Amino acid sequence: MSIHSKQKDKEMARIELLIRETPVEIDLVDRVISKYERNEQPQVVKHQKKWHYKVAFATAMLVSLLFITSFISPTMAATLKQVPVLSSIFRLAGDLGLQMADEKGLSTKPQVSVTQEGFTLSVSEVAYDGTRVSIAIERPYKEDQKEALMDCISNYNLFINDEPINSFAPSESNSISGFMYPGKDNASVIIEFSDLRNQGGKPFPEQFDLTIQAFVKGIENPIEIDIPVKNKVKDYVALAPNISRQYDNIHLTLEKVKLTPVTTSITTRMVLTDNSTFTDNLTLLTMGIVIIDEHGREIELIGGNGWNATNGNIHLDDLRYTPFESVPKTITLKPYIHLFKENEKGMFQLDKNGYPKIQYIPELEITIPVQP
Amino acid sequence: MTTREPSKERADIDIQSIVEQVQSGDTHDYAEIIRCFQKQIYIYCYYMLGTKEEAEDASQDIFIKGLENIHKFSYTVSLSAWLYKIAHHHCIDVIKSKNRGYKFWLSVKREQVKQTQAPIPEYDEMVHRLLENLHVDEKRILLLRSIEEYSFEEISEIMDMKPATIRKKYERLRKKLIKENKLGGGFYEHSFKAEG
Repeated sequence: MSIHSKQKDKEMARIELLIRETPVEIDLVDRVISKYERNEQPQVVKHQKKWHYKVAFATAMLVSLLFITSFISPTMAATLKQVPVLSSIFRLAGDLGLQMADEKGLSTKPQVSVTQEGFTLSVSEVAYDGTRVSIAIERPYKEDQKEALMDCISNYNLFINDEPINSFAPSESNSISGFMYPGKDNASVIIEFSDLRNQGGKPFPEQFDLTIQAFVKGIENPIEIDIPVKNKVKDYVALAPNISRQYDNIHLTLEKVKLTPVTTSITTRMVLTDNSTFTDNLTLLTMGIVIIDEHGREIELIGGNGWNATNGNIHLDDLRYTPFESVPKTITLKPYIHLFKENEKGMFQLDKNGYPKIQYIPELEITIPVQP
Repeated sequence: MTTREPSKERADIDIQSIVEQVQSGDTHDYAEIIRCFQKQIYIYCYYMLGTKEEAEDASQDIFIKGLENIHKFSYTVSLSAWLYKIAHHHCIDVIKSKNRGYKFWLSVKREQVKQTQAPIPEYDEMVHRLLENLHVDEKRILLLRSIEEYSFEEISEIMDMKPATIRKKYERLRKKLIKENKLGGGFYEHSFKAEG
């Protein structure tokens, strides 16, 4: 063996040793055993992974939700607990759009309940504005209830007119998932989902029967609730500006904009014009867009769906924000990137208040007229 | 058969009899299996997925899947090889999910854990960089070689490929890594020495 190959072997041995000797402090025993014993049904464990992401995503929306609920005084909260049937989950725990839906009569209150093996689930409010479907689900409130409803529902499936929701998805890899986040108390949750019509999927019908099949811990068969859903929004603005901006290797196109009294949504397409891909490109994958009107008033991000093929150079985004109070004259999209710490992979640089630092990319800014 | 003898898996405990105990319904004995393999499975997931939080969640789910399916396990492969197969499928599922809606949960998660999670040390960062340009199969081979010091035959059984294919892929990844390492040689040398 030549000295050169020996040197190479030595280097490989070093790399392998480096991997093998990665410092690790971990003890999974209690977690694995207790989780296994808690979740005796196989499907509960099977869906754990999915949950992880849903919960993580939902926290994004919660950042704003928590602020909203914190404005409710303790006295008012106590009063509301005594009359849970009358209090709207959307009004108390929803984002500004869902509060508007409840206030302006753009939601429906089906009050459908199903009881199975002593466990009751009810759907108390539904909103569909052509952009997102939001469903408030609750169980009877009990003061001493320890486990939140969110933790009791281990998984759920959604069906539109008896077809699985993913029959509307563009492809297997770009599928439609619902997001669940806490409601007004630990006896309620909100489930939200959208079609992916702007990413090649089939649009949801204007009116449909929705079946929620909920798997509840300790209940053998899933609880199935059927509810009618109808798009109650008649006045909305839909635009297809197809305006593009280029900066460096990023080609950004604003394909669609839709403003309803419940949601503002935009669809963007980002293409990398060199040979690079989105895979592992944290800066581009965490890119965000701030939206303001002609007075500089900013709306709040609720959620969205982003997708790019593995090793692909095209990234599609549907981003959903809170509604504007009235139809603005213009809207401006201000794309930004997060600044990462140089020596710590994937860690945001934080400002003095603990928020991630961002940097706008003025070259990608787009302003479009909304009112004629 | 090139599979390891069960008794060779971990010299100090009798994995085979523990597996039999668990298969006969004594799930608490599974704790010993977790203790025995958790570090290795965690390192595998960590370098496949990229963050400690994901690696912890994935390792936990892999051991749960192992426990759920232990009745299907027989010694045609070693228990560790069987766990790595589960680990691989699980990591691939996680990676696929990351590509869906990746942007959102990632940015949120980073923000959520910013105060609680320790920063990625330079040591791991260096390995992440080295692995960055490898394909999934190349990563698997390198990790299985590194963590368990498996032979090409053993890796071929885990990955359902011919030993010759594994050998070729290993050669290719070796070239990539050495090239990579030369480019960033100073950094590598320095950090390696710093770890003693």
